[in-house]
Amino acid sequence: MLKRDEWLPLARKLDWDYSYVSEKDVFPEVASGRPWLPHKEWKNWDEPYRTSYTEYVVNQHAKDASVYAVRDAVGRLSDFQRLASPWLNALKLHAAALPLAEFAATVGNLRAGRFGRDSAWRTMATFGALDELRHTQIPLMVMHELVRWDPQFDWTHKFYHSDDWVAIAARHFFDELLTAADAIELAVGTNFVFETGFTNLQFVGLSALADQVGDHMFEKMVTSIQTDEARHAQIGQAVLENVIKHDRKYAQYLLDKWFWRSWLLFAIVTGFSMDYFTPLEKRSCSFKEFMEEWIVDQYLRSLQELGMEKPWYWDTFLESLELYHHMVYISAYTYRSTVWFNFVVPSPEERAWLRDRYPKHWDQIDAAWDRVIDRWRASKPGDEASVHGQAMVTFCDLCQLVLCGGTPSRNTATTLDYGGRKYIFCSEPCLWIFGREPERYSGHKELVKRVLSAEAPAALPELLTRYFRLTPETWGKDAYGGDYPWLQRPAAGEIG
Amino acid sequence: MSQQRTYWHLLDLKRLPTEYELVTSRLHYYLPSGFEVDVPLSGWYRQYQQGSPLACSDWELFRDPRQTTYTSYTRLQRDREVYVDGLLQSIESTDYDRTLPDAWVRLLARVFAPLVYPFHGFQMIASYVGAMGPGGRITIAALFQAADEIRRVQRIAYRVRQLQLTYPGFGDDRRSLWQEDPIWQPLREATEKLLVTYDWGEAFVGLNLVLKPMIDELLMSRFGSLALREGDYILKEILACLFQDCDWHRQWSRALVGTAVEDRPQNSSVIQGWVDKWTPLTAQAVAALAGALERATDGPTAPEVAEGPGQPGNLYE
Repeated sequence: MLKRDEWLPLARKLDWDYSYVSEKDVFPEVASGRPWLPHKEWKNWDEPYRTSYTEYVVNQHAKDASVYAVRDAVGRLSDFQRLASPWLNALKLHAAALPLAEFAATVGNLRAGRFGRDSAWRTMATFGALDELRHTQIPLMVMHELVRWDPQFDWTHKFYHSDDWVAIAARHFFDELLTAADAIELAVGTNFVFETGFTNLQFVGLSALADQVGDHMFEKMVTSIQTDEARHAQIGQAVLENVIKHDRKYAQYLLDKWFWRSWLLFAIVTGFSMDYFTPLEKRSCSFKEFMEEWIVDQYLRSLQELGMEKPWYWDTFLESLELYHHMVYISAYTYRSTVWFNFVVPSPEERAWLRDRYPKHWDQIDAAWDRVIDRWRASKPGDEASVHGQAMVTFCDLCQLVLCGGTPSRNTATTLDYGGRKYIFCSEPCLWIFGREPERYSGHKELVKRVLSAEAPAALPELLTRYFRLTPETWGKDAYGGDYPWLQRPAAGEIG
Repeated sequence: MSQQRTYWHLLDLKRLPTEYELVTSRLHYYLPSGFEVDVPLSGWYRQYQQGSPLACSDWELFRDPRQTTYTSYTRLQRDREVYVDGLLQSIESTDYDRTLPDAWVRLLARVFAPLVYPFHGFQMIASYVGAMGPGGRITIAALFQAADEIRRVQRIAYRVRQLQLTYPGFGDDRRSLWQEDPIWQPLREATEKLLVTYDWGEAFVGLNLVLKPMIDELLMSRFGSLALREGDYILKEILACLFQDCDWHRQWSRALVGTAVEDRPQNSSVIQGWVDKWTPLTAQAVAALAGALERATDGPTAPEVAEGPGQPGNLYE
């Protein structure tokens, strides 16, 4: 057979000069993205790692077969039942966040497969769309068996179809990043920042953790998925370089916007999993240490190589690395019935470990845990309602997450008046993103505004069941019902 | 243990879902409620997806008759690619290319080598139908179709490269032929105009019910018969294997039309309107290419070539 490089060049560059329609009509800016450039500015677009269709189907078939072989060997219900209880919540969190977002990525990549500005880019994006379909279908298959054991796994599919506050935030994020992104924003936001910048969190971090806790199915799935990401993520840099050349400011904006937005997402999904859901004896480093070692340095290096600046909010980001996910975790713990997975109170040993890893602000978080523990001590095991938030919390008008910026004593929430309305943000970067493209965001109602306008019910039980689509069976609880061996309750008669 | 045996959206089946149902159902999270964020493309979706005259009470009613999943797709296509690799290899291990008649090689340079361009156009339009498809299963079927077009483009490119090794300079003018040769212009016009047809339903009908059935029939099936007559029997086998993909494109399209018309009878006239709109230009494209085949081969199959396709309406009646 001929070598790939002997014949593939004849199939890679297939743009032609349109004469029955205009190039601008074939590639409108709204779908192709900006800056709008004629094709001659894109004709040298190049993907460093080539692949042919034949190689794709041969390799991917083998990879799929190997994932399903692992499923048959160690991915059955009884294998999952053996896992430590807290870790299962990392699994539920990922199971819900993953498949339908991956399908949104299928759609985004198909758009790039149509509106990407060079044929080689379009073809790579179409392979990317296939990859993302794979990442949709594998978890839907693997998690299905767990539904009959634990109905919280139903959220593997249900999550994005609910109006749970986390789902609202996730859709707000993925609408822009994937589902309805133009081809250029998709390439920079998804392929470069999300898939290249943060890829090690999943590929190195999460798969190592899964291995540590004995979740070999999840480890195999994540690893197999990430080997696909590495192939299609290369679209990002190839597009970004040309955007930088023609509109450096816009390139910088896209990088900074998507780094911040991606950071908030990973802080929750990976931050919770590493620092709370992994049993202490299985942890090798903290989420912050992992970010510093595998994400921060590498991202700064890649920006430097491209001649770009680090984000203007870098100090804010470094500060949030210290405690943002801790703030969200304890807030979510307090309102755990509003999500589809369970939480654990960190044990004294875990708190000591966290203090050691996060010396700067841990004491303030720790004080909040003391209050939670005091409440549990005064309540009976399983009495979830007594140790649960009741007041309505406030959400950021950009990221749609609870206002958790700053420290417990100094929240960084900030407001903006725009178009006769007042908007509130968890942080300066969220306000900055809103202010750059307010027409995208200003019409959106965060959860509280939905409640105030009677779009969503105000009473918590109705909100949970009718709006969030949770049930008493599926809504989040303390994984141990507050019954921790280290939590010494007064004798039964003393509880008031 | 819970009483629930499957995901929430499959409970109405009252049975365990098939693998296809499990991994293809209700995958577009933004349907039916729309996007959270008012991104620039929101208006585009309102106009070209939700505003399409091709409507259905629930596009989840559609099922790909082959029930293709990612796993089954890569398995099927791996087998087909291994088969085509064997065919191509048999060309390389013999002096097959030297035995082809000169007139046939000239015809291949004119009619076969430029095909990478229109088929890349078909790939783009299939990707568009996938991105805009109002149901997850439509998106998935269109995605596999776009991938099949990549396959077709790459197999043609491979064969062109093989011929170049025996006939230096073979196909070097393929781009200028596509741009300028009169036999390609009607097809280029149809492809370009379909590329800017943004109503998802019209893009689907124009591509899958008119342009592709007629062009695939001519340039895969009929062209294959011609190849056999000219002694290029391996090309016939390659084209026949690629035509299997096209055959599935027709099958899922037929199923989608069936779903649409059964759910909403007025879809029939919507589809017919688009078929009528796209048929004349496509017929011109077929006539121009068929004419070239007829003149070049001057054989009895030529009229068949011209008459063969041209009944797009049959596809869904």
